[in-house]
Amino acid sequence: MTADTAYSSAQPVALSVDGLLKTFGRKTAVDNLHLDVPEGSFYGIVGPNGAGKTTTLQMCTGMLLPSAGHVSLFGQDVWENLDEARAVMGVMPQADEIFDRLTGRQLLIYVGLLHGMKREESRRRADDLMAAFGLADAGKKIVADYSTGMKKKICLAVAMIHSPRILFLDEPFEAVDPVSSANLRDILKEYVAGGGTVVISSHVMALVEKMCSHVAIIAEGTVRAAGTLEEVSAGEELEDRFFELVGGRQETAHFDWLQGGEQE
Amino acid sequence: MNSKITSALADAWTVTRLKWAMNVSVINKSPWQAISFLLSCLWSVGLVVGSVAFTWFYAQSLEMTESAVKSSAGVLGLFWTVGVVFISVAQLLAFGNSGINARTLYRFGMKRRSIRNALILSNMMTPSGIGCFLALTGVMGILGMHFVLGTGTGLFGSSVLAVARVWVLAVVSSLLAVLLASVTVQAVLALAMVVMRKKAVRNIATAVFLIAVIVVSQLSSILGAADGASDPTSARASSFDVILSFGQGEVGQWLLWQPWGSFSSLPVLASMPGLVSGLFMAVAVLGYLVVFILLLKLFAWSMQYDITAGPTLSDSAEKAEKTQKDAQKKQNAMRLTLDPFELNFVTGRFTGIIARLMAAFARDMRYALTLLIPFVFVGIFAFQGVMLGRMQMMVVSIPSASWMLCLTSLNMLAYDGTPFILHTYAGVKGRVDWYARNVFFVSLAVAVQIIISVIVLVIPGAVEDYLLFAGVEVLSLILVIQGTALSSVISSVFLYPEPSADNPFKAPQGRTLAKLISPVLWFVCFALLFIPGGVTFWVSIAFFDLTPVAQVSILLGVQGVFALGYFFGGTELAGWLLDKRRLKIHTTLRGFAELSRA
Repeated sequence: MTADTAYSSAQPVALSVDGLLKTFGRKTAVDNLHLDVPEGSFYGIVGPNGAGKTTTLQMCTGMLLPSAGHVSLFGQDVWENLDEARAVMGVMPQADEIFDRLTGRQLLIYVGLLHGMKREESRRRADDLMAAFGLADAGKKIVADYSTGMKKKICLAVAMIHSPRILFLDEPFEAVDPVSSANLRDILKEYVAGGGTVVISSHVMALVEKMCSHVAIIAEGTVRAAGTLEEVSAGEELEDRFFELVGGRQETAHFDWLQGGEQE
Repeated sequence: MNSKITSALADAWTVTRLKWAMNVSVINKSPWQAISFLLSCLWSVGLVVGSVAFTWFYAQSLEMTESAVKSSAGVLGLFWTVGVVFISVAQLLAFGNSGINARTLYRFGMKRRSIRNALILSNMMTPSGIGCFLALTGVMGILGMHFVLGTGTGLFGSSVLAVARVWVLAVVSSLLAVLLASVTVQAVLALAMVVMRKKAVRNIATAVFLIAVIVVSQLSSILGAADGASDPTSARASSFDVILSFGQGEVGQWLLWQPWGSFSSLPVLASMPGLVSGLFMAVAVLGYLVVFILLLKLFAWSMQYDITAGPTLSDSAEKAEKTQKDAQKKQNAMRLTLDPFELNFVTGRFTGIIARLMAAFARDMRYALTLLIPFVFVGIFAFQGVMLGRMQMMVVSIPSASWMLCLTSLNMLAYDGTPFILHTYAGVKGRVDWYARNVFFVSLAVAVQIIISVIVLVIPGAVEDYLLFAGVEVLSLILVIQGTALSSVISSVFLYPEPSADNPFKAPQGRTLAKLISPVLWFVCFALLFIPGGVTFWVSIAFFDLTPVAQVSILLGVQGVFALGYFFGGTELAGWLLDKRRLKIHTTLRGFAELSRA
């Protein structure tokens, strides 16, 4: 499996990343990265900490200027058509990137208004999303009082309210309990089934295996493998393939001073 | 015993290095932190050099009399005591959350006794601690030396040895004074972790502190009125002079007998025979020991309580906590019935931003406090008016309030913080953003101005010249319109950290310096904006024979037109700058968020 994506040329591409480079001083965070995300796919970008996943997503969503390379969304260059790109993409904010002094419902209505929707439409979609995410009872509670799982849900709702064609989620399941994770997964699967594209970054292979149709393994700023789960795993366990491609697995260390049992 | 002292010093050194490592990590986060740290070091150096130099020159004017010695010692004792009280109160208002505290060290695995010793001693090893020590030593030494050389008498004998003894005593006294100050501050900090858990207590403490600051700033007026003078300020020039006179009088002498005052002025008193009696020394030493031990006990008790109680509360306390939370939730729900997003005028982006700001003012303490300050001005001017018998002073509160409200919108993007990213994700243009914010702020300021104007009108004697009042109203409106636009331009270029909504009284690192520079920049630019009105006024005076009313009317008319121009031009410029610098602003806001967590 090469670093280039192997997918059917007939399948339209939602996101195309070509030769993306990002340097911070002398450090190269993303190094000549190529990636094509098919439309309607559930695409997982996995890699160890510091692989360049977040940096890549930030460049794809117009939040970090690349040092070189191109990012295209449905055939249009993101950086040359930022306004159009923002209209079709939904980016899931982090928990500290939402106005937590608003109630959940107010937040969704506000984001709808910011996206240029009329108030009535924003309210309707906000109510639909609150119900779908199981947050209807918490609609009048300010977001600051939400649990972590509830905050994640409202963040996802914020990303979806304007009906984007593609969703970008950066480690959405971090610190989320299993029940909330399952609920979020179901909502995302429903979205993909409806024709949407999801790009999700994670360092948890089990999660990617459960949810994604495609995966790209990134390490040290480059794509080590990309394609469908079957193509990337190449007959092995995906986790083993991950370790093989990423490396860095060490022999178990033994400390003579670290004894769990009774001291002699 | 030696090993205990060595161990205590080693612990102190460890904590000092930990504090230093934290400082370095914060300094590395942004150049503002580095500048702030450098300035704080310069400040410490300046404190030492300035104190010593001032004392040297001040001492030359002192007579070699017993009263001069006593009043000098009294002033020193008063200022030192007030300084310790002020810093302790500031620690209290930090709610026990400042930097490295006992709770943090305990979680790192440090023993409780070690924590106590380490925090107290490490406090003395900081640049400010060393600065205070050196400054106090210098001041005591110079004053004591001056009196000893001048009188040739006192406890110290001949002049050469006398000078040496003065300085030795100054070093020892200063060490003891700084040690007691450190114990006091740390004990109060530990107490804050116990006492300041409840929000109501924090609010009360903050309110009391603010009232105290206002009272101190108005001390000259209060005492002048108490004296019954027709013009109180003629007798007492300022609050500083008032405090100075306290030190030179009986209050200062009384303060010398309490532990914080006695050791901060001992070498000065000892330079004259008869001023340091056996009784005085006994009281000073005993008082010091008793207070020292009590403060250590208080520290230990507070730390014990905080560590063992922690989040686990007793049944009754838990129940009370739950009841309070439920009440708060109910209050939240009640507030939500006034939902700005349900108002009919909210139809799109522009009005949506206004609705969000309305919600912020209702629920975010940081915004709400900015509305309080104009009314504090009204109170201060009313108070001054009553004290001085000149209620017309209240008219000044109207433009003062407007000016304060202009500054409210300064740094507004930092108030939004990282959630501002939602505006970017949604593709909101900078000009739309700033027009919405500026329209909201001008509207709010006008509403506040109306309320304050009504208050001023209603108070008897406040408005005698209605033409003047009308002029002040127009001026205030001009201030608001052009000041708000100026704030939006500066906000798009220059941001500094703001406290989080959850902890509105905890200032993040690096804020103090930036908060000094930003308003200065604002004032300079604001003054420049008045050039058209100023030129017009000058022309009207120089070339036309007009009445003062006509001149001022022309000035206000011209400046008013320019103010509208500034509003639209400034908002457009702010929007353009916001769009150009958008990604950099996001990076800055993320940095601020990390500072708040540091």
